[in-house]
Amino acid sequence: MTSLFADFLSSLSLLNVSLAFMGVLAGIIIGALPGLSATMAVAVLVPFTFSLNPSSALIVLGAVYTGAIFGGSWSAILINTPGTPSAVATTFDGYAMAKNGNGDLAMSISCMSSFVGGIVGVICLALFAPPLASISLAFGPTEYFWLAILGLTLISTLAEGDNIKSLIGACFGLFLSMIGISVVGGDMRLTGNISFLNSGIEIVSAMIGLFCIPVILDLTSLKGKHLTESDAPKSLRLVEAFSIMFKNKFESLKGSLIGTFIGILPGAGGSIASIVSYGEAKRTSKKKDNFGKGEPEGLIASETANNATVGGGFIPTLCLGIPGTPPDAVILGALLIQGIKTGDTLFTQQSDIVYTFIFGLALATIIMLPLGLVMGRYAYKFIIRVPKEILIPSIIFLTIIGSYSIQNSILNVYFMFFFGLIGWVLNRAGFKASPIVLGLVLGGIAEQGFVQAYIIGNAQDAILANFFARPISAAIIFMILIGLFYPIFKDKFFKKKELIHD
Amino acid sequence: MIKDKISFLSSIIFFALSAFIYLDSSRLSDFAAVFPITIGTILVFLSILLLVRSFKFEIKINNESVSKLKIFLLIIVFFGWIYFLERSGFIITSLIAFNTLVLINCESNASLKQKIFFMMAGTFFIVCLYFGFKNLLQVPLPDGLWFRD
Repeated sequence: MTSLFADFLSSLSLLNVSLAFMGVLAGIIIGALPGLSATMAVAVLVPFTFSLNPSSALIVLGAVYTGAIFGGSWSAILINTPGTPSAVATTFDGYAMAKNGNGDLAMSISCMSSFVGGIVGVICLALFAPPLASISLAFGPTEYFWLAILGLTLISTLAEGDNIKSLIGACFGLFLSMIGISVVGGDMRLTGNISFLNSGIEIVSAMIGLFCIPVILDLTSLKGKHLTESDAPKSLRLVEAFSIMFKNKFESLKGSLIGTFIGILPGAGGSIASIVSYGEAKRTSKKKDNFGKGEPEGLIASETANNATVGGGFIPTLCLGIPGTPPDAVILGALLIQGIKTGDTLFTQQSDIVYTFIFGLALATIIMLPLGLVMGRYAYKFIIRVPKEILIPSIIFLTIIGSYSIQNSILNVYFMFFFGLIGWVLNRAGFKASPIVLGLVLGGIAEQGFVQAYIIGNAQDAILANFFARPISAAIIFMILIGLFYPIFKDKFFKKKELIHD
Repeated sequence: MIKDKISFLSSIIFFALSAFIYLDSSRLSDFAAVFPITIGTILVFLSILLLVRSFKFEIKINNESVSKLKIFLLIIVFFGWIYFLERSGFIITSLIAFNTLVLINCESNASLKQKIFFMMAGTFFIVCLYFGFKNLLQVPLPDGLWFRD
């Protein structure tokens, strides 16, 4: 206990607090720029941490990561472009809120939700890391496959009135995810002998194009401002945001726990966490018809989940040496450079470093709250006031620079441009970008899980049992079925009740 | 009689895409082909549904009216910006393309003073980001093929 208190005090040193502050600030700015991911933010700052002591180095990297995941919501809310892939689901309601004149409220809710998610993730990391890490090992290819399918069932919730077009959009996204070298077998497929497609479609550049370019093209013809200005007095709308958060306290907790749990699973990451959390929030919400039209509950679900993956992702990273998310992989590298051995003995043999880091992560999340609220307010006011004449070229400039910097490749910029045009045409034909992106993000995970599970099942001469009889798989399938059929049963049941009443 | 031309056209395009997926999958190994064939089959089924629906009724799409000329110009400048990025360098290409887009998007009643202000602000923004990316984020932006030694 005394040792824990000493670790706590150590995390609160002036150096660590300053590093956490600067890390969060840098993370928010980098995360808010479309194309610059949390992974890149962490990777860029790794060399600067070599001269620091291990716990301070970890604190600054954790702070950057936390800030970047939150920063991704800004561009999602203000320009309909997720700053990081984990903010995909934030665009669904965040941008709609901004268009309805509630952009400032959306920015405040997003910050508070990220704070709640971040804190829950850190608490789980501090209290339950070793037992939760063992759960991640129980997830095999079958479970990943069903988890991706659980994410894909969200398509029905994104349908916006045209289910067939949404499903076709998702299939198109899945098709895009299959282009290039196949995940199992290594065959070159669906490239049409075009050499630059061999490495596949870069998800982030396609995502920037699909979400952002249609907005820019429509904005060109729009008269007046691109976002409706809030009627609310000049404030952070803190009371309103807090009241919404309080009303949705259970949803916040649910989103945070979903995010933490999915964060634990290596390779899953914030994008799946926010998508699954959004889907679950919509399925269980009383206001499900408002989702996609600017419903704060949708924003809360997405933002709590993606920030909770920060703490969750560190669980397998620290306990097993298996990174939960890509930024965790970079941080794992930094840990090794600092001479820290990950594994089950880390919490006992080098507990001073680990707990100082965990307290530092909590500190960074706490710093993020006031910083994010104040900066978010100014970012919103700034974007609202920027004339369209500058805003359009500026967004185009950011899309170009963002997609270029993913791999320092002009090819990604062409991909972004090409998918932007396709997205615009499809959008005008009634095919929304969200299902396409969902298919693109989840396609690789679904296919890899499916084929690997098939191979394992085939080798064991129990294909069906491998897919359906594993306990975790069965639980996920049960959730999928509930998600798909509960609304139908519920509607019929209530309709019958109403008829009896009449 | 076709009642929803957009859905009809879309279904034809996605039929063609399914055919391409099938054709390409036929030469792949089993493991590489199983997922594309599954998705191709679902796509065929959904395209049939969309095709049938397009003959029965139309689902209206609420599209905002667009200025075709402005969009055409924007696409041309956008493409030019990308095309010349590596050839003539980041700074020159971005300054020309950015300011051209400012002029395209300026309202007809915008004064010369306003236009100059917008262009100056854009130039400042580009230069700041260029140095920020190059020096702080260590992202090497293209200097331009024509300017290399």
